[in-house]
Amino acid sequence: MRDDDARMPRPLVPGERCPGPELVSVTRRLATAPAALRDPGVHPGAALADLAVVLDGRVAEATELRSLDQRLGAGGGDRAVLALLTGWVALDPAVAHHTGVRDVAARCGGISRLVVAAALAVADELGGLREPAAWTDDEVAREELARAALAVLGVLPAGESPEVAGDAWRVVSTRHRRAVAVELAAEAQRAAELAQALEEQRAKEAAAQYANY
Amino acid sequence: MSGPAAPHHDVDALVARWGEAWPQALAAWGTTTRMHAPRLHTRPVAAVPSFAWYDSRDVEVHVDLAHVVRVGLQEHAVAVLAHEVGHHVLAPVDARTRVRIAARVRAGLVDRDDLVPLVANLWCDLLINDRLQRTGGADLVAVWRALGPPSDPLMALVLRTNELLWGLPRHELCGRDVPVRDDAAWLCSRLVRAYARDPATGAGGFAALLRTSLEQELADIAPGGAAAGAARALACGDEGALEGLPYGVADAGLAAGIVHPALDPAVVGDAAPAPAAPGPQAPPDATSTSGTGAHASGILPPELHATLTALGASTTLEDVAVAWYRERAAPYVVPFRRAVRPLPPDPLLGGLEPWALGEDVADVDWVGTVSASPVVVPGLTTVRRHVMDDEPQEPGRVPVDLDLYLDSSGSMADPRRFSWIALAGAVLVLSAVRAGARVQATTWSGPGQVAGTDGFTRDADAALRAVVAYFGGGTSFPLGVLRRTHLGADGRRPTATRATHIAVISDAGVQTMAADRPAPGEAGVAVQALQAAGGGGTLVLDVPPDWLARLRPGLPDGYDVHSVTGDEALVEFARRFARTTWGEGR
Repeated sequence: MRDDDARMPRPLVPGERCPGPELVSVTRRLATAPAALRDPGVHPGAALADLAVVLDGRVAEATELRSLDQRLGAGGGDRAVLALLTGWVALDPAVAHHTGVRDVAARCGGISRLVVAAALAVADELGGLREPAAWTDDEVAREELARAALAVLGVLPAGESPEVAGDAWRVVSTRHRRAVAVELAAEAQRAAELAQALEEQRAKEAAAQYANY
Repeated sequence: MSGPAAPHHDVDALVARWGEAWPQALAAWGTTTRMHAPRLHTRPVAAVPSFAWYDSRDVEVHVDLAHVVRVGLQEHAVAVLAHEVGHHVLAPVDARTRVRIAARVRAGLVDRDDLVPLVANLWCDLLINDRLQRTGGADLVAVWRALGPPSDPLMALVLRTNELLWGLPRHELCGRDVPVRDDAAWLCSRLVRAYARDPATGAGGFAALLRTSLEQELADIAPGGAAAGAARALACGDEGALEGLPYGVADAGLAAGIVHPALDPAVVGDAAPAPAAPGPQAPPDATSTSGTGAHASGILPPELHATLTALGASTTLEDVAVAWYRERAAPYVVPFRRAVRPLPPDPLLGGLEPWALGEDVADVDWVGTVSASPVVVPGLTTVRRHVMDDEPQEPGRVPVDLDLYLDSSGSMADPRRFSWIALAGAVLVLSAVRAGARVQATTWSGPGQVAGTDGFTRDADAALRAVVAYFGGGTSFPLGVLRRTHLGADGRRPTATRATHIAVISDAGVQTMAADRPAPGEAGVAVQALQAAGGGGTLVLDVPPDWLARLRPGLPDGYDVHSVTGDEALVEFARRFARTTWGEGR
């Protein structure tokens, strides 16, 4: 297993992570995400541009819009859904108006720039790991997405230290789960061989009884 | 068992405090949980390593308060008691689940039977503690903090798992003294959540995880050593004595191959590799039809016996085999033969008629006589009741007794391990006993090697003991017993007193039934006995079906012959036996 598999998503703005909103408020927000966010008819770049206007009145430039279109693909796709869900989380006043998030946003040119960049980063981080619907429907997936979103925003879930947040991330991380499974599968194979050897030995002992047959 | 009382402590106050905590401990598992008050031992209980335990036999929680004081848990009454209630409510609950968990743990540990009780207890504790901590029923974190960091790798892994489950800072519970593999703890935490409501299914994976991730550390834990002792002192489980094999453990579920959590889709989801071709991880062949009958769906008696032994039970392999055959045979039990016997006609009372001199005085109906005339003149005023016969509506049916002969020569599989043929015998025994018949079961091998119930009995266990008995010697059918039972011997009457079905469980050695070489034109003992028994005869043979035609010339006439070599053949035998039965009965 590579260290990379276990690490939390890196924050967009370098520096110490500061306390952020409650994790439960973010996962609850994800659970109530409208199904329209997964609609193939939604244009993800346009939706994020609208979000930027709502958050701080910033109008996205043409180059930024082109970049969003290229990186997020068509609506309803895996990456588009992740980006829109991240935007849905950031739209929540409990997140957008949180002091910690505001502090980070101040260091990167405003909340809308932070949120749009975070949406792209989350799509990069979690894209291809789960079915789009799972990010809202599955309890563990919701927590994985919530933790990833807070991590790239540069904040920690309220009440958690960096170490606790790191451990908790490993518990829910799909990438880490796959890496551990691959690594421990070799051990499992060894255990299976051990069991097989013992089984053969028992079978030989049993077969000795039927030698006259 | 009990030593001196713990000094320097107000025992009465402690007992009172823990007694007051009991309702809250019960409430941690819901408002409907009911148990009687715990037994609070004020003197040390040396026989149990832990400070608290559950006894499923008496459904009772025990606490060694002297031990509690020693480890500093006086203030954690609710958590400790609620944990023990969890053994009653969640895992293992009862003896059946306890054995199921232990059997899966034993399979997962592969070759460390000495660790089965400890690992099974740790697994149950993990599930219980996680449930209590998550629901807020009890503060288990405080308990572990009070107990301090562990000194052995097993408990360190368990506590690191708890840290991950409960979102605690690293080293908060597991300390820094013993290194812990984080990936194993992570996998264990997922396993706990995946099987939170299915302790028996998850137990094998837990044991396999320990066996692989702590391979060297487990090797260093000598049976009864200090490391094992330290872990046992913290793992509190069901200490109730096991009495025999509980019902409900012989199903196919326990025989499924152990899947390591890293390969279990329930634990790692889509990260689990695709199922491999049948190999070490594949479950054992459940449908084998080999002639020796060495395979069967479900866990076999030797494995269950080893599991019970690991749990400290003194049950013998024979006891386990009897219970196992009883459970496995139950689904195959068939309607047993009943002989139709004419009943005496029902008396139908008629009117009064004159009683004449010379007739039996007992026939006089005195009430009728005196009613007709207070002066009795024999032959003149005496009357008797006229009785007519009425044919019974239903013919009488009595169950046919079963005379069962079980071949245990060296060519037969040892039934204590498993054999389909012995299972067929168990089916016959249970079918007969259920129908109200009596059974004589005789196990035979070489000359003089005969054992069994020695007469007809209604005790199914006694008959099943004969089914699982094994000599492993030569092959010589006990014609003497057959003659004595149905034809009489040494001037004595036959011991079978009513219609009896003769069944022989054997293989090619059944031909020794016809070894008495009667004179030309005369029937041998086997045929004469069949005619005298009056309930038919069956030969159930552990030979391939295509052998039957070849064997038939050497078999006694008049017997139904069946080949039973596997699961399907057993079902077919039961079906044909039942069809014959109902054909006769209706």
